[in-house]
Amino acid sequence: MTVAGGSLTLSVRDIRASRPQSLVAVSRALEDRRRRVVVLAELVLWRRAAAPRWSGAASSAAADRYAVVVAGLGRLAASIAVAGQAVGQAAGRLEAAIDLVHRADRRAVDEGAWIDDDGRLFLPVRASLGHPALEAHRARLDELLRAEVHACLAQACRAAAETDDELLRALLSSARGATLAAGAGGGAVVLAALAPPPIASAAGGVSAQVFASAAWWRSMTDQERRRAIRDHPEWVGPRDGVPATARHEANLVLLARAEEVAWTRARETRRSGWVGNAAERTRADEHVAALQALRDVLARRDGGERLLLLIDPSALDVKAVVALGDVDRAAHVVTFVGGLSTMVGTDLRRYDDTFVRMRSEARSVAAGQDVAIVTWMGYDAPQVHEIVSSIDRNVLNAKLARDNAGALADFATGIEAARDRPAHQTVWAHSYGATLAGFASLRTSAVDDVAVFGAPGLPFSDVSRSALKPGSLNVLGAVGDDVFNYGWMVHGTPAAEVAGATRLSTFALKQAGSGCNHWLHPRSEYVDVGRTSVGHSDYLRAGTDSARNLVVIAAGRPDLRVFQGADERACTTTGPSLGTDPMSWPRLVP
Amino acid sequence: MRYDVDTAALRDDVSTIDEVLVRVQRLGIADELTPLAAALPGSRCGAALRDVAAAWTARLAGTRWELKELGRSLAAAADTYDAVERAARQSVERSFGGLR
Repeated sequence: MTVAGGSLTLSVRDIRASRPQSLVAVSRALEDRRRRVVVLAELVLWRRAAAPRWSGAASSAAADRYAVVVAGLGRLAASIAVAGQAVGQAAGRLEAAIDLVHRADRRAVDEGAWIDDDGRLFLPVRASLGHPALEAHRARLDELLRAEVHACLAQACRAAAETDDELLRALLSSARGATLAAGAGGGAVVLAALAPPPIASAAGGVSAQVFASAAWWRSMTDQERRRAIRDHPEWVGPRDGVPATARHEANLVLLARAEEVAWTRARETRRSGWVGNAAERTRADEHVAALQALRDVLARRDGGERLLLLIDPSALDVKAVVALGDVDRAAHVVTFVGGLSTMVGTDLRRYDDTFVRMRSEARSVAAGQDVAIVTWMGYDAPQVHEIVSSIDRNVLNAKLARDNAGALADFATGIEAARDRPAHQTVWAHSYGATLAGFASLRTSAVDDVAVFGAPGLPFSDVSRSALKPGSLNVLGAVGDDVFNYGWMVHGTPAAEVAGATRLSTFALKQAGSGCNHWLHPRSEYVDVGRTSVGHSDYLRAGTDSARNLVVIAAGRPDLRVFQGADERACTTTGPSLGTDPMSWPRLVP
Repeated sequence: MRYDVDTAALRDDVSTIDEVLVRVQRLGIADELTPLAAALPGSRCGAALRDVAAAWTARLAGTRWELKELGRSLAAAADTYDAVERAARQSVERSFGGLR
């Protein structure tokens, strides 16, 4: 693989053979020369100023001449500084390019593949896995490998070629008299910043842009990354593939900007007081509330680090993604997607409270390994009032789920691309969020396990038709959850009927095997209500089997899952609850 | 016209300038850049190092020329002052010579 850089090209072979340490040595030698020139300029000045041994018109003329010489030596020192800093910066860039090639090498080796000096990836002949679904999954992993390796090598070649061009330009211009701008310090950046790739999600398949973004970030020096965060937070904050800590830092800048805009807008809409802009006023207040919720959650000091991974106030409602825990290093990362009516302003604090508890449970199950939980509100969820006021944003329409599936898949792949070691990644998806996660599951991504609860329906009837690994889709549906039981009427296949999905327990009897036909007795008399989830919004409650199942999946312990048994199948098969409490009234079970 | 000069000090300045000139000559910026060619195989930088070296050689030649000119003019000033002083002294000595 080579990338054009002026009239010549730089190949993977060239990058591997390059020696950044030699550039560092050259940079140091140039710095030494610069210091020598400064000493010479000082010596000339000192001689001139040592004693007033000469006065008169000729002396004044000589003073002018001295000034010219000293200024010339100063410019010479500054030009040498430009050359030295350019070489030093190029050394950093080259090291980053070599690291990118090494990352590609490591990724290839981990999968039994290798990369030659021309940047060609060779996959090994794989032994048969004995099942078409497993073969398909293996092929998808290879597709991810190819995308990442290609992105790493392409960016390494591009960065090396651009650095080569920039370095040559800096060396020539400094030799011809260029100096740094006034005020530029010793660590001034001489080479132009590497432009980032576009953020836009690919229409389908593997999200090559995410790997390109990750490679872009890796191709910069620490100093350049700091500059990107400071000068272009919009390049960094929303970019999947960039490490969470860097995104957080950039997003804090974007959050402050969003707050300023939101407060101004709220003040202006309130000042006008016109009845006709009530909707605008509500929207402005919702934005302020959302940003306040973000501030509140980010300020929590309960031992769990929060990272702001997205803040997008440009949508109807504020979009945000907040991580609890170390997304860049935790062994297990969960991404939660909510459904109908979720909004940052009204729900983020509640989710964060819940996930503090669930993370603690998951960490204890994961036996010493860390778990991070991400609240992904990266899509503008449908709202209740939109059932009657909108077609495209209607919860009965899959459009929002379909349109935002790429963003969710890219987010998960971006976490993986930014890390040094892969994470076990799980998606927890509730209600309409499950339909969105279903569409995301059609795309090749870094997601390992999916748990959908209260899902109204999924866009595939068989796990083998999705991009998920066989056995990785878990379905939870509670008694009295009408969305789960009847949502399929508008949203495709009922989650419970997807072939290859694993149905997990959300229900427990006080006494196992006692059955459900306790005629004229309320269910609460024989159901363990502490462990049983009821209705559409009870899956995350502490102590329930459903929450426990979600926790063990997140912790990478599928062996601890509790499956739906015969009792549960019988007891949770009811007609529509229509808002009544299925625990309070006796029901004849068919 | 009024001036005051210590030509010996001026000649010391010339020596300093000559010393600076020698040190500038020894800077060897182009030589320091030579390892870049091997460190950056296949690069434009490596290929164009001769142009870069030529540019630095020209740049340093300019600096040296400025220093040389300064040294030369200081030496000329010292010589001229000494000559004027000598001529003035001889003139004074001549005019008082008849009185002895």
